[in-house]
Amino acid sequence: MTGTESAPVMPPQSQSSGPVTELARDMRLFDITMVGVGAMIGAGIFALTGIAAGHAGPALILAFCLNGILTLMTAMVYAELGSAIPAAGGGYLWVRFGLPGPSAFLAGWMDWLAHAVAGSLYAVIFGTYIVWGLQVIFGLGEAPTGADGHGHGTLFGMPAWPYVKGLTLFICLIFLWINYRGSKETGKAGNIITVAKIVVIAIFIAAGLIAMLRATGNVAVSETYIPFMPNGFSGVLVAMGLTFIAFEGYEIIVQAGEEVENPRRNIPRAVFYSLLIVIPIYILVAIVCIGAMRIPEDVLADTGWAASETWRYLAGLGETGVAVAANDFLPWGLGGILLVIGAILSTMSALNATTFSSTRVSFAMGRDHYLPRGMAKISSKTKTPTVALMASGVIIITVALALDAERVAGATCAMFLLVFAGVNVSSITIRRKYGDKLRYGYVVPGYPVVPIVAAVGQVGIAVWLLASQPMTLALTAGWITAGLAVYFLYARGQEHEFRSSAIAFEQSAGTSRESNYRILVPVANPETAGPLVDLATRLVAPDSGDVIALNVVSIPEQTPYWSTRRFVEEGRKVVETATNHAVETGHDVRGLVRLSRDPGKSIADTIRDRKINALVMGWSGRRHGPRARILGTELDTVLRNTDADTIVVRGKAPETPERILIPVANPKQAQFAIHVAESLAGPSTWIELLRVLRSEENEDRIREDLRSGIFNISDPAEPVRSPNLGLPIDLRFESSSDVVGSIVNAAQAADLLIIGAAAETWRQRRSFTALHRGVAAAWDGPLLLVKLRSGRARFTTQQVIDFMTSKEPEE
Amino acid sequence: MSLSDLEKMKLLRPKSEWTGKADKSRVNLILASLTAAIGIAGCVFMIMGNGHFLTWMGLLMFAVSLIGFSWTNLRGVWKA
Repeated sequence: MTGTESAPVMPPQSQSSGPVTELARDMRLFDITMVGVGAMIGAGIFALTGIAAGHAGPALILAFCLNGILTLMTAMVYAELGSAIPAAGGGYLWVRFGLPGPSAFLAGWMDWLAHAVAGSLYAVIFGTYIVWGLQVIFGLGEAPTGADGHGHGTLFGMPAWPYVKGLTLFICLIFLWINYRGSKETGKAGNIITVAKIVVIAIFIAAGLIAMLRATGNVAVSETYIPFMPNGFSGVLVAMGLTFIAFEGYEIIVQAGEEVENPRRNIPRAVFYSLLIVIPIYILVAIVCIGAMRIPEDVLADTGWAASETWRYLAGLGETGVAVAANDFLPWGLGGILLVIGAILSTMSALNATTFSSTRVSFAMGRDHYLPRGMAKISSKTKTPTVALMASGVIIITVALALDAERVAGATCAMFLLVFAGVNVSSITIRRKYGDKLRYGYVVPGYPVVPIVAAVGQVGIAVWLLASQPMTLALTAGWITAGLAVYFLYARGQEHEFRSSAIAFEQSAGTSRESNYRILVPVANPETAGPLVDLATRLVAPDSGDVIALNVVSIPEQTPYWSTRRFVEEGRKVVETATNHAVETGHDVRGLVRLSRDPGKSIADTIRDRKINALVMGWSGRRHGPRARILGTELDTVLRNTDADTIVVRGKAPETPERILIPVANPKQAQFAIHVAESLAGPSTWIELLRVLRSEENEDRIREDLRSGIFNISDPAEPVRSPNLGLPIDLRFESSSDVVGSIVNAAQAADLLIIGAAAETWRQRRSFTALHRGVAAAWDGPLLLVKLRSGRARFTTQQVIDFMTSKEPEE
Repeated sequence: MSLSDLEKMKLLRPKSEWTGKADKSRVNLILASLTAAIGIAGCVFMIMGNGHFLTWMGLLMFAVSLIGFSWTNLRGVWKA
């Protein structure tokens, strides 16, 4: 045999590539509140108010109120998690803690793209409004009339679209540069823009309210709100879906968690303050747009609308509805100027915020090895994640220049809703698993009602959006499919490699043959290593399976990895004892030594890495760890996290057993136990199956079930024999309420006891139970606990349910 | 993600403070429920009013609820 030893190496997660550069904590409460407000009062309120009014009518006010309620519930969850886990990544990071499998990757993937594409939308609207301003205010071209679809009209006698695209690219580059300069500059720029924007909107609202008070003409103000819901409640739901993007700014507040001073206190306060500013603004904008506008006489004559149906006029004007409203009730044509200024400021601050947030999500994903490691690189000069910023910038610019932004907007909204729903569910598992270990600055009252109601509401709106807009469904499904492909082809492997324990020594087998059936034998004690490997080699023919002996060198938390050479030598000796024993018996066994702070997890890693089919593991019979454990911490960890045929060995199995007792309850597990018994049996071995009957069970029916279920025998006269070797098998039945006592009594005549795992369901994984532990405590002879693998689908389902219902935190 | 990740991020309490139970909310649940109920009732009134007086009453209730609910929650932050 040949061995390959490497110096004791640190696992990748412990390696450091020089001084750690952290994000700077220099954002105060005001800064972070303005980041949230700036993100929310974006282009949405200007561009979507008219469109949403077309669906909801005057009940656009109600749509904003209901969105406010839904948003407040999720914002409470964000405030709680943002105060306890204030780290870059926000929602993505929490889903990573609170949901299993690829959910975290998908949440991050959707969050990243949703923020980036939202930024693209804002950039395009910026370009559009600048050009519109030049056309309408300065008379430098012809504004689009609406008859030319999504055209941009003309500017300087030429088609205006190249100017729109050029301005879009210009503003993207400006804000990428600002974000590169650092969060302090980002915050300062954002603060100035956001405050200016609030002033502009305040003037707009005040002018609208004055116009409503002075209203004269063909209709009373109060009549413009009647009927309140002309398209029914479904119209309100449509408006809610369309305007939801205008409420997601609190997500951006928590993205800056690592850059906020005193985050436990400031993040939840900023979340509530920002909503307290934004929700009333939206409602007031809706009120004045509907109440203060008047439909021109020529439009009334052309359309036949009633003079009170101002919502129809607003809807007909679409994206420019608010601009025309501003022109309507502000004197001297100031409305158009004011609105262009407001829209430009809004799109700029929203673009600033989404550039910031999309960068932080991709930075966090890079740090977690879901995306290339370079994404987590922080500039030592500006302390900003430059590569993540560039990657986000490429997406923002590409989408802004190449894609139809209007169609992508729905998908952005749907993805935000799904991410928020995931965060709401995650908050429940995080509270259950880590609640007592984290320092919360704010805790949601009425747990878990608030996150459950919020998640149901968000999934409902997302499903409605996707069902009603085929293009949105196609884009969202496309993004999610691409994300799953990236996860399974790249991210999962990277993450696993990063988190796996280090290999300190590997001894190859004498032959280079690779087998399809691999058995792993974790060995810790030189005295038991030989018999364990021996048992494993008897389970497979020499040419049809590989056996790997693994020793995990357990490194205490306080011990640095560089000082572990002596422990590696000890582990190597244990492995060599096992492999030498196998050589003496004519078998070929590979050896492996790993370093880990968590041996159970390291064994589970090896089972996944090496695609192990069966596990043979020794057990002292004593239980270690908390009371909830069945066989002890390490064994339970391995059994819970892996799906392989498993044989747990207590004591030394006889060379050739004379009599083997197999208590049966579950036919599938009994078949596997008989297979193991055949592997160990000699020609004269007698196998006895014991079934302990409860008082209400009928022996004849159970006998028939066992014969057909285990041996596929329907003829009652046919003798029972083992399927491969044809060894005689006795079926024995005992009626007793003391199952453990009956098994132990029957085992007195046997020299080996093999017990199959308990019956499991799709919902619950129960490898071994208190019954197995009870028998092990009462019977001191050789004992094998065996379990047949569950199958991938069932195991995955069990893992997900176990993760969601368990109170134990992930180690 | 796991406990060790939280430990690396320095977000965990000392082990001696692990009680097995999460912190209770310091937000006044009765006040929060009351203000939330007023907000929801306000939305119902807005629908029932169909643009008339009750709609504006509902909007006023929503405004009161929004301020009251946010204030109640902000008090929970300050106390924590």
